[in-house]
Amino acid sequence: MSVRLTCIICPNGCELTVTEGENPTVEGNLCPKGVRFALDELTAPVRSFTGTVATAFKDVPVVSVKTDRDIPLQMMIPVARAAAALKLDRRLEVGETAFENIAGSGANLIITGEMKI
Amino acid sequence: MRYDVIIIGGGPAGLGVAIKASERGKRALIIEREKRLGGILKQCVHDGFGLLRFGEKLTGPEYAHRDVVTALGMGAEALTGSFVISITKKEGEYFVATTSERGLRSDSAPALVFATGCRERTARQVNIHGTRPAGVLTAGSCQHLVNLKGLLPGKKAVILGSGDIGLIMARRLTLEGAEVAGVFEAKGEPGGLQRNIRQCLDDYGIPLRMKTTVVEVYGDKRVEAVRVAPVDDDMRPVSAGEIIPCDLLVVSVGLIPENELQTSLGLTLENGTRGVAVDQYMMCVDREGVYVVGNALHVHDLVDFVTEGAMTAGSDLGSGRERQLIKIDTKNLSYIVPQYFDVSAPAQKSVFYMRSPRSMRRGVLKVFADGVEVLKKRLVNVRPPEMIRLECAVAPVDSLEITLEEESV
Ligand SMILES: Cc1cc2nc3c(=O)[nH]c(=O)nc-3n(C[C@H](O)[C@H](O)[C@H](O)COP(=O)(O)OP(=O)(O)OC[C@H]3O[C@@H](n4cnc5c(N)ncnc54)[C@H](O)[C@@H]3O)c2cc1C
Ligand code: SF4
Repeated sequence: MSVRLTCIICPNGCELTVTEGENPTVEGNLCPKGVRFALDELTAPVRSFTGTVATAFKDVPVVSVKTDRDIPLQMMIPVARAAAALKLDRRLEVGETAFENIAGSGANLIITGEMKI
Repeated sequence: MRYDVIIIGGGPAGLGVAIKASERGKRALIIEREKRLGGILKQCVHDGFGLLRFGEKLTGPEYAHRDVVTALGMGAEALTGSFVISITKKEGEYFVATTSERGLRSDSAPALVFATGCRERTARQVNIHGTRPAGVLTAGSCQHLVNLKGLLPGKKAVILGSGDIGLIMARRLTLEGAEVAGVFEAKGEPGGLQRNIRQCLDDYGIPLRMKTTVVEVYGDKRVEAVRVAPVDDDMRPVSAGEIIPCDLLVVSVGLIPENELQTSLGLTLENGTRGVAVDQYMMCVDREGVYVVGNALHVHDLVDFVTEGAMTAGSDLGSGRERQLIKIDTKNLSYIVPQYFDVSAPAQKSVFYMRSPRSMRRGVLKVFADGVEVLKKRLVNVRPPEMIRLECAVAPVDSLEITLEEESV
């Protein structure tokens, strides 16, 4: 059986065709990353989480964050719920870790936006 | 103060010009009306930016942060919270008057750059019946409220239009705990990228209905429901459709270059892009020393190309070229930027950005200089929402033509 997928790794957005079986094959990928993506996607899809967390500061009511690694797709909602419950009371720099092991996902939340204006 | 270049707009386009100009030892001044540099990227908290330029998957704020740090670190100056009140030209010098909390100020430079970004088409510009209660927002305003103000503008949303910002907001609202009833697109093809449909809609089971639009909005003070109905190719409803209860209607129906200042200077706009016409260095064909970059020139889908074009302008300003322009001919393209080519200064490589008027499984792009084919490039999965970038070393004398043809599979 074959499955069609859009690779989300880069802006090329290649249309992949995966033929399932003992040795699945992937076609339509412009680079090797597409093969990895397609195989993950069929067994255990992963995504990166991005969003915001609230802060204690009036001038930046929320600051943008991301997970420092991909998380299982089914963890996106639990991670988002956990992030929504947080409040940051320190002004951190872009790239600093705000919260570790968010929602038990194994990933840390990293600050992506400026908190100093 | 006197500068080598004054840049209006401090988003990635303005920053790209400032970085390149500073690198060349030019004094650059950025004028930005908001309190912070970075432009629209400040509110684009999702990732996918910078893959081509940095080989990394950055979020919008991270991409902007890098450029702000680099530009200011290289000595570019920025006036934030500043509004342009007038632009005048005297003996080859542009005088820009601005106002801010600090008072009035006038600066001048022989080169002027418009990097003012784009604005969104609003609900007013689409044909919907009914009231205009609170709870009708453009996708960008919705993004601003959620990502910068930390507010959730509704609990149950309907999204009209399948542009990328609408798709991104469908996911964002879902992750923030709102329910997204669906995305409705009047046209037969989605306006956004396929990869965004997958990761923003399919991942969360949000339905996308094509050839369907919102025909009526209900509610007095606040949106209470919308009626969606299938439409024909002329956008006429073919049935009564159905009523969907919701408290938020997000309109994502496209972007147009922000060109008020440019038109006030008397620069003429092109039909295809709604921006001005430029040569391969992004200099206006109408006006020496004036450049237009980023979304103010034509709406980009990738910020990496915004920066690339901006840097091209930054590398040219002050060059004092004696221009000899030819118009670039095209076949089967909805637009091309640049529209003109300065044959007196062909660069080692020139970059052309264009869009196809329709989807093609396979296409072939050809470049003809003075009637001779100099480049042929095969393309796969050509789609109108995805800009085509073509790099080519070309030195025409009389004519330059770029054509796109569909190839049978
Ligand atoms: C709502 C929205 C969401 C987007 N999301 C994405 C996305 O997810 N991914 C993507 O790749 N692209 C996205 N884009 C496209 C995005 O705009 C470009 O990738 C890129 O940010 C364009 O850069 P720019 O510098 O041309 O414009 P902008 O980033 O818009 O910067 C323009 C700047 O000019 C300033 N300005 C405007 N007029 C004046 C004036 N008269 N005086 C002083 N300053 C002025 C503005 O305040 C702003 O800071 C989005 C666009 C919009 C409108
Ligand atoms: S297969 Fe490679 S080139 Fe194609 S979208 Fe995926 S990562 Fe990009």
